[in-house]
Amino acid sequence: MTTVEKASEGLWRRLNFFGVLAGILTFLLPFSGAWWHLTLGTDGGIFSILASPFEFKFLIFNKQISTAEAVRFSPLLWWLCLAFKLCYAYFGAALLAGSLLSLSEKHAESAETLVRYSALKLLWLVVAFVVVLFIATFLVNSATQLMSGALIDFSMPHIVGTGKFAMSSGNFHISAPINVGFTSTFAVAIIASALGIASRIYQKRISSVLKRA
Amino acid sequence: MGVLKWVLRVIPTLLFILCILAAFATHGFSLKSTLFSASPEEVLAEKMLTPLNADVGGEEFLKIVDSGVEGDKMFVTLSACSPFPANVTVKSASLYAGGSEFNLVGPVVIPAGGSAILRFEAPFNASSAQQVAAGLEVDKITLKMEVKGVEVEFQRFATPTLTAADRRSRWG
Repeated sequence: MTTVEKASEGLWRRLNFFGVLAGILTFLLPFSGAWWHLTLGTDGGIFSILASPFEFKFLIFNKQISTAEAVRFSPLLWWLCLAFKLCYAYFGAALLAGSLLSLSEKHAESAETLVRYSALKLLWLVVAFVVVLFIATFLVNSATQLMSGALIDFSMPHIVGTGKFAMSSGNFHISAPINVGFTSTFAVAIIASALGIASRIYQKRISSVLKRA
Repeated sequence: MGVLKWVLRVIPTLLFILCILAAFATHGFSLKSTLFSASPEEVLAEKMLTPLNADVGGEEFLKIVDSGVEGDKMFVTLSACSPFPANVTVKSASLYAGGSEFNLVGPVVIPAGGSAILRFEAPFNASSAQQVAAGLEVDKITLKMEVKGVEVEFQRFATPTLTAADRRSRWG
């Protein structure tokens, strides 16, 4: 093996592939749609909620409520979602930059700082999202049990599954299946989180090799 | 490196502060209107009613088309308009008219935004037949419908209950 080939192999080993992939995915995730859905009815349902830390969407007969209407719901929530979107695009960019910078010996320290700072951010968001969903569904179910005997009969599945909704009022009765579950975008978020963990471990290895050299 | 760490941490904090400030600034720094500009029920109700009004065009959901006697059966046909932008299946239905109970012949699908004819039949009854022939007034109708897996059952009293004043004005 020639000196040039050896140098080239060393260079590729210094590239944090996990970080590059995780960075790109983290950057794109805020613009890739909902992580979780709740549907009232079947075949698209009559009412759906699509949620992720970056957006909340309401669909009625598969028609989405416009941005203007979403802002009318809660302007603060809408702006917070925007903040999350921008922050996670920024974390993705930082992870990508750190992973690419590790190629340069001169910027190795900055690369490590960038990767260490941004690699686990998505993982915490995924964990927090699942915890918040679980608490929310638990609270909704508890509130409904407290109101047992009331006009509304509501059993909400915990995070994933099917439940039922029934409501009676005078001469009117409505019953519908509730379907909740994660979307494929959430699977991408989990993959990106796993790649983030891998990128952090790999970055440590790159740094220790460089320090020894 | 200390500067880079500092900058990395400050940017997301600034983004959050700016977004929260923007939310308040665009709503006159009022906590109430920043949290909930309009009540969620208001927006949802508006959204729910828009397709209803747009597609039905103010037409009545149910309208009597015809009634009469055919062989040993009395019949009533109603025209039903879909109030939803989705197919509505009327699974079962019954109505009371002229002292008889009429039942829907079979399930009917009302196309999205369109209309369909519901045919109700009852066994022949001499006292009711006269009223049927003269034109019916439906007293009560019960419908069981299904829209995208959601089952809706409702009773509608087509003829309002007469008050004492109404009775006096009608029969003197």
